[in-house]
Amino acid sequence: MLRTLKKLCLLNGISGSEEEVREYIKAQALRCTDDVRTDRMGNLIVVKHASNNAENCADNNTNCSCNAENDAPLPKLMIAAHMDEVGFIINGITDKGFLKFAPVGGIDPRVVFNRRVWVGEKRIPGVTGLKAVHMSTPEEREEIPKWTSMYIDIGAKDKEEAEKLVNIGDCAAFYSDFVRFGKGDGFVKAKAIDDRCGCAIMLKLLEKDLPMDVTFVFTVQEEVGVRGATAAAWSVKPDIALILEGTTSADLAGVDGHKKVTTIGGGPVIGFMDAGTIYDRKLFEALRDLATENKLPWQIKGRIAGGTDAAAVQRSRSGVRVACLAAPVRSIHCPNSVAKTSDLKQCYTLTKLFVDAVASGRIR
Amino acid sequence: MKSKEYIKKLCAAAGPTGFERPVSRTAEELIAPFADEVHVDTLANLVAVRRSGLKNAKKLLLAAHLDEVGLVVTGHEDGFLCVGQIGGLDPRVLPDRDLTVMTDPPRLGVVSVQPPHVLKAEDMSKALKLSDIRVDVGLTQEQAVREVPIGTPITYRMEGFDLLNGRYVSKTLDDRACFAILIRTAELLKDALEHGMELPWDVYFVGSTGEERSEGGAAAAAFNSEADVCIAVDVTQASSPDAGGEKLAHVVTELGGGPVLKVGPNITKYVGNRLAELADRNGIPRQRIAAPGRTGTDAWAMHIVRGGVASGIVELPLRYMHSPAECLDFADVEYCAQLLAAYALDPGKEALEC
Repeated sequence: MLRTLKKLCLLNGISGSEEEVREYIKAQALRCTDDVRTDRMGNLIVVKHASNNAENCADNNTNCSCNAENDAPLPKLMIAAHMDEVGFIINGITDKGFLKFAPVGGIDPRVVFNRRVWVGEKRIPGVTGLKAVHMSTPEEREEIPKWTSMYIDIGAKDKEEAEKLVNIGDCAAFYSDFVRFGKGDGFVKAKAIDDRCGCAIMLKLLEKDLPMDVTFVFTVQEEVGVRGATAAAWSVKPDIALILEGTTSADLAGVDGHKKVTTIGGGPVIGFMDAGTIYDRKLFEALRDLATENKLPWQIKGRIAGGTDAAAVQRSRSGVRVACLAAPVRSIHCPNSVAKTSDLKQCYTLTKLFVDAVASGRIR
Repeated sequence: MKSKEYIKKLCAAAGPTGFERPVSRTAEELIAPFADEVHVDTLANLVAVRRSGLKNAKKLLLAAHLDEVGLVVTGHEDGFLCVGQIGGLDPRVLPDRDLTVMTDPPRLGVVSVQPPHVLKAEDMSKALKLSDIRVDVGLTQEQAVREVPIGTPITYRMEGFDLLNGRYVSKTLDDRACFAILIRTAELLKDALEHGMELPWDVYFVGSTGEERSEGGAAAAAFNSEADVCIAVDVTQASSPDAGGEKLAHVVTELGGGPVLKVGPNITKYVGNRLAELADRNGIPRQRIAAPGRTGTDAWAMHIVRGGVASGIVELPLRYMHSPAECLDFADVEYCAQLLAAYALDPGKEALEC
């Protein structure tokens, strides 16, 4: 799974330009199932049917997996993670050939300076500038420059040259390598761990024999208002949806108790409530019990903040029961996000247990 | 382009002020093929000499510093590292920055940053102070204290990459790019001598240490060599959208505009004027910046070594100085080397007689 995560994190997929990520995931998914389609918004919808050794209902209708014991129809299960990441969009070119930009999704302006970036599909290399420390006043050094005064340097001689290579509306993505570090190499740092970790977990599940039909949705445009999931949930029509995410961790030096939000190494974060969703209580309890019974650590967010695709899915059509599992991520939405591999592996294990529990009729 | 290879190798070595020895070794390997003698001295200065073969030869010393700005571990909190700075850097470049922590072997560190969700809106527009910076090394407090002791140096971590038009971004171009200029100068001299030209004096190529704190390395090298003329080769500010305009016109130069010749009390006139003359004669574009006092280069220290040393300053325009992503133009690199080689071969009467 870490190898897949590495591949995914090195791809660029700013909200609205997820093509690179989708093509990679699509190729992987096609090795596991033929039932792969891309909808009009760009969501990748992958259905993995129950394996042959699992018993399915007679007509093998994807909307009607059945529980082997009592032949009652199984709920339709959707698992989703978003492919997009936060980044920038070019909105101007100066006379001297520097690029102006705006953030796409929520980016902390404090982490933007002197970064290596890729601009556009051609991946033109650039660097975000900030005048040297020698030329700034002490007052300037206390303030973070406004988005409108930031710029990307691609080395162009002038506007004309820059315009040949870059268009208004091109995206720019952080360049960041994938590195394992810390005790026992138990940590990873990369960009876009939110939410390529969810995508990696789904790709691993796709490789397995599953006990029931599962629809995997790789969504677009989560970071600009859960837009892909809105459309995908409408067409997939799930009864139950599990959202896989990376979530905020402020588990940092000098931060105590609930202010950490989540703890790195504390295991999967089971969603009960965030700024967008109050999750289905029964599903929350089921995930909690599954973790406890299987001796997996688990935690809840110490702060009602952030949101996931669940907000859109829950309110689709006549309503969907939603649950969320997330890996804690430090410096989320930053070029050097940090996660712990044990959390990622446990998120996968708990997701698998959840699928088994739905298939067995334990979760109805 | 060979200069890029030199720069890549030099920048890959970690060497904040006081910890330059690994860089000195890299510098030694790279310049040795173009020198008659090479050694590393007490303060870790790398000294390479090209002899003229003349009796009682005068001496020219070219210095580019090998040290870089960085951080140093000053304590531990919950397994994270507290840091102080080595040399001057803008703490605004640090949040979420990946760093190289110089343990053996070196390890990755990431500057932690409080997520927006737990901050007040006004905190997001405020810069973090160095005293608030903590570095995540993926360790518990006990492990961190043991494995990354206080005093461990830390550097930026940014591999070099190309922009358009021969422009190049990397960490530590200040001042490794200028040591690469010295290697290229030595190469040009070797070539010239093989083509029958004669060196009028001995030339010392010094990779100096300690510049970002005290210019102490260069002073010792100038003392040891008993140099007659010294030239500091260092970087200087180049313009960008937030660094330009009337307010900064007197300190800012143009990237790709050629070598910058400083003019002021730290520069001996017969050295500075000769450099300008040679640039014009050889079709090398040049820029001029006034330096009313302290120049912030090795020349400031070397000028007053022993009974005084004639001094000059040749500078390479650089954007985003002291950040993890500095930016140069290779045309400037080549022009600087050509100018220094021209000067070494033909410094004029005053330099050789004074």
